[in-house]
Amino acid sequence: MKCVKGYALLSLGCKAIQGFLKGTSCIVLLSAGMYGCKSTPKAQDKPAEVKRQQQGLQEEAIDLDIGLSASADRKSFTHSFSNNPFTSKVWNWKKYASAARKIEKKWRQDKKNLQLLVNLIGAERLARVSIAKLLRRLHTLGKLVKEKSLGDNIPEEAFLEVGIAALEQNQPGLANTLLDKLTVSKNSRIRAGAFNALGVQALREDRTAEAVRNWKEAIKVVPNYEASMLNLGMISLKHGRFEDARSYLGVVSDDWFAQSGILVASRLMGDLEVTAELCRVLVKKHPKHMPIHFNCGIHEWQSNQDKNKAKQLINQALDMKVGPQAWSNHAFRVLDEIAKK
Amino acid sequence: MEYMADIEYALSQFAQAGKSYEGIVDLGPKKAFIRDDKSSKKNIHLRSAKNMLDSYNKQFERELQKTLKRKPNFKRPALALSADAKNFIRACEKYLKFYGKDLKTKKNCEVFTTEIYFRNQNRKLSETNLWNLIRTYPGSKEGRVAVDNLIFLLSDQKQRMEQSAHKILKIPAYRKGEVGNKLRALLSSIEVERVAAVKDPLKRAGMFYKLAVSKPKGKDADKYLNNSAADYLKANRIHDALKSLQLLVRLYPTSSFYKPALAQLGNIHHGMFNLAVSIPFFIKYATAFPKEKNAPAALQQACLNAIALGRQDATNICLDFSRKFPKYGQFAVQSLLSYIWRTQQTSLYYDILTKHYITTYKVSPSERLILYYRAYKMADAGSAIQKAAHAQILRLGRSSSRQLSGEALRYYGELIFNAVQPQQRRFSKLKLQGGTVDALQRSIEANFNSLLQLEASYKQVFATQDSYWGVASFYNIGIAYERMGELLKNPPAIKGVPRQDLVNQLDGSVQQVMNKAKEYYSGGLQAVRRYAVFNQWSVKIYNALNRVSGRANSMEEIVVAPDFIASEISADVQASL
Repeated sequence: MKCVKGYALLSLGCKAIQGFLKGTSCIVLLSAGMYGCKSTPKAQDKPAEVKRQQQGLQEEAIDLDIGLSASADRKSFTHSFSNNPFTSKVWNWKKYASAARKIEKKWRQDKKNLQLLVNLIGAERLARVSIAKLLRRLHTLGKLVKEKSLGDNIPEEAFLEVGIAALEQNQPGLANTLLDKLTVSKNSRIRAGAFNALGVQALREDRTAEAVRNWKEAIKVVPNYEASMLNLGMISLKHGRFEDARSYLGVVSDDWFAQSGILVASRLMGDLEVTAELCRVLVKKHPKHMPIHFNCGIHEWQSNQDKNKAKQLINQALDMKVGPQAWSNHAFRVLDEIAKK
Repeated sequence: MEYMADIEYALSQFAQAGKSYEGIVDLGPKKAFIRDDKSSKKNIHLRSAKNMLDSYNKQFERELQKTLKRKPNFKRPALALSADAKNFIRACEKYLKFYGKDLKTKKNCEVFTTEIYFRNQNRKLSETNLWNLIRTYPGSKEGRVAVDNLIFLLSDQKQRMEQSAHKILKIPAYRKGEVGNKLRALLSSIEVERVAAVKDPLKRAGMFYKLAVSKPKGKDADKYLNNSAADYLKANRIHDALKSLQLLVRLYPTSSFYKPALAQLGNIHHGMFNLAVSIPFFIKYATAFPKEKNAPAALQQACLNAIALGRQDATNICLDFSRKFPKYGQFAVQSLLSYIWRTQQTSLYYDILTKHYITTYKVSPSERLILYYRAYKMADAGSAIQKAAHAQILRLGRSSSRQLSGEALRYYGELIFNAVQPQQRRFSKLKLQGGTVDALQRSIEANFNSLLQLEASYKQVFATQDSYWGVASFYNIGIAYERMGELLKNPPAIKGVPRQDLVNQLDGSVQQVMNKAKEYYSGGLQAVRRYAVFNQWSVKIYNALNRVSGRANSMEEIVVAPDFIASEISADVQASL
């Protein structure tokens, strides 16, 4: 009698699950332009970019290996974890909810479509769907992958989405299970995404040094990885490391939030022309951005000794009545200081 | 003629004797008479028929013994019968033609004739004769042997064999007992072979499943379920494969397929990220087969999955794993501790740390210190846990500060730094005494002594070699000197001494003290740059250095805390917004 044999017994490594993170890979070359670094920056709008180019900073072409399910049309979507309205990376979860509905409708008509399901998980995560629902989706995806003879290769993009969702929804067990595994992914963008997310987690746990270490790992994996560049730039600035800040933010200087950081770093490094130019552009472009107005007020006060203009900008910032109370308190204290001096 | 035959028989010329006796038999019972001297006539037909059989039998005996030992091969052509064999068979036929009621002889003749055809590979005549035996002698040894031989004969004709087995089973004598069982097993194996021959794995899987559920008590039901699962997997019908495996596990816990089925169930569910369902299978596997090579991996996976799901029983599963397989358990307990720390379950965390983790595993001083630090930060201020953790951190820091990682050193440094803070606060409240020169002099000396003591205390922080709290210490000493400078710059009034004279008098000391402050700030700033320190004191130092250097610049800006995340989103998603 013919007897079917060959069951794969437990193939679990002793340190971690390896099986479900496997992926075949192919090489895709993406230009740095994909990360928002346009080739010819307009000097008028992007002085920091000009400065950066003057300093000889070059963007490098990025060599990527994309995993099993990653299609060439996937791009890193950088966004603020807390959807902080003071950053350039806010996202409208309602729009993603609507997108998720559309994708779900499409997927219901083509339930064997793996890509659609991965896309749905991504859209639902950004639409703030519960972790329980995302886990159900992941399970459906796992079934689909098995049925398509792809072994245990659940697309890692989906794992990354659910890992981030778990972080957002305070499910540390799940978040670390997924993100830790993804740090050994063959797909460099996934690996960078996982390191970056672990960095955000470390920062939230008040472990800044570990956050920085993770972000540096991310940019080792994918040079100029936008999210990590922004994180490293702003954390360096916050902790008085102005040169580092300017160097990191310079790489992503198309982004106005990065420019707002370069503005501060440049002033503190004595590069007042850059600061003045950035203040001119950013105050005009972002009339409701409290930190930009306030910081430009500081520039007027400390660099230009123009107390009136400083007071005007800081008062504008205060009038916006946004941000944490500590910001307003600080602004009032600075106004007092200006008045005293 | 009979005399001739008798003489030939006596001379052991059995073939000749048989032929002679056969001549008499051929005359028929009505003509086979003998006249002797005294009586009129005597019928010798029966006697001759028996002698004929006996003679041919004697002649054939030796060959028959050899023939009976021969194993037939029906793939080969039939062997030609010898003259003796033919004579024997013909003699039987002739005898039975006249004396068919002699059942004993009839049976012998039928059995041996069948054997002769069977051993000589005569398919057609064997089959006919075997069927005759099967039908004529049901329940007898001869009948049972005939069944075996017939099945053997038809072994290369599956369909006819199956039909024959069904026909035989219709005869009541063969339904029960060994023959019945054998025939049913045969029919079952034919069915299995038929299923196995199906090329489409999906169809085959369904057939195996049906075989198993139709005879769940059958000897091979577990095998069929196993095969059905494997075929369903080949056909990518995961749900059905799981159904087969689950049935196998539920109904056949003693089957040899039970173990791989359990592992398979755990792995498949895990692979599909159905973590909750995979856990009991992994646990069952590791519990039922603790000596298996994969048992530790299975239980570890159950533990990690329970942590991932944030389950209440994660602690029990992981500790059970760690106790059963201490050699492999460290990573799992580390993961458990991290999870419990992140969910802020202080007592549980401290219990596992002190009563299990540290006592079971070899833990480096750095890891130990970090784990105690987490307990220290989680615990309520002044609680027993916090005090105990505090003591452990200091002990570890003192005994192994040179082996500590950056993170561990930072935590140790924090405690040392914190210990100096009451002294710093006391210093920041000190003032100079005015009134008399002596009073001022004494208070200046007292303040300087306090300042030197503070500076000395901070040396403990520097001794840790932790740059993070080192920078904070640079700043705090700097700020203390700066405060001393400010006090000297604005001395309290002294009777009879003009204020400006006093200020001028103290100016040299002010410069010295301010330079010292500047030195500390510069040292701090250098440390920030050199050691990649990220803390709030970096900005404070920057501002303080500018301040004591007379530069107006200070960092007052609001910096938005970064929390940028990135995931790989498809262009389709972006397009559908």
